Amino acid sequence: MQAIQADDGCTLILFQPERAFLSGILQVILHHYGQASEELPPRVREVWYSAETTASLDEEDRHCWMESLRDFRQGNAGLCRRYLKMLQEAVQEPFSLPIARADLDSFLIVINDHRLYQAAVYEVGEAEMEEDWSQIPDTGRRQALLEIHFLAVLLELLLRVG
Amino acid sequence: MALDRGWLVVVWNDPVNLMSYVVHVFRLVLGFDEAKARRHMLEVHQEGKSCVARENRERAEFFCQLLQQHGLKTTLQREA
Repeated sequence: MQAIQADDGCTLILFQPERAFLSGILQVILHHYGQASEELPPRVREVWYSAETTASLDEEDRHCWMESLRDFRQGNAGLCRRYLKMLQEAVQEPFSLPIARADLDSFLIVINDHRLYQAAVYEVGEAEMEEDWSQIPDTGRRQALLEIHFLAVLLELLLRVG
Repeated sequence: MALDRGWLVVVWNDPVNLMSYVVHVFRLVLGFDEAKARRHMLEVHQEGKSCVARENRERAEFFCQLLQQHGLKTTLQREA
């Protein structure tokens, strides 16, 4: 996986296993973005919908605050769908995914949202971030850590060229 | 009449957000330069939190929402 600067943003170069892995993650993100906040696991709701901030608000303001954050995520679902389609229809190897400068911040948020989601579900803290994911016996937890680290590399690459 | 600027936007440490990402968000959302963004990011990382803005309620909520959209753990506090 590599990211290179382009005239209007950057290009992400992915080999087949990375492309498949990222496609799978984007599909999961799309599913989560489509869920109502009350359908999400409580720990995710806290992270994505900032329970701490909204705790002091009255019912109406809390509803508005959460709806606004949900609308924002829904807005990024379109970008996810577009990139997912490109990744799934790719024939060249390696595949080049063009990321326009205007889309870069949204894509970073999408990637980061999935890291936060997985960390919340599997209660990943400082210590777990240092764990060797390949040695984790629980399959779901191992996959979550792998995705968190994979997306961290992607984030760093994009931030460097963005 | 002096504007009410008594609301603080506080960003809290979390184990997942990358330091480089936090710097990026501070620059983009709050308009910090690289040095200021890094200083606040390090404060979050080392002290557990950093007050990144002091504004009237409306603007504080605006910044708080933007930071939360970017996945940063952010709260609003009424200035003591």
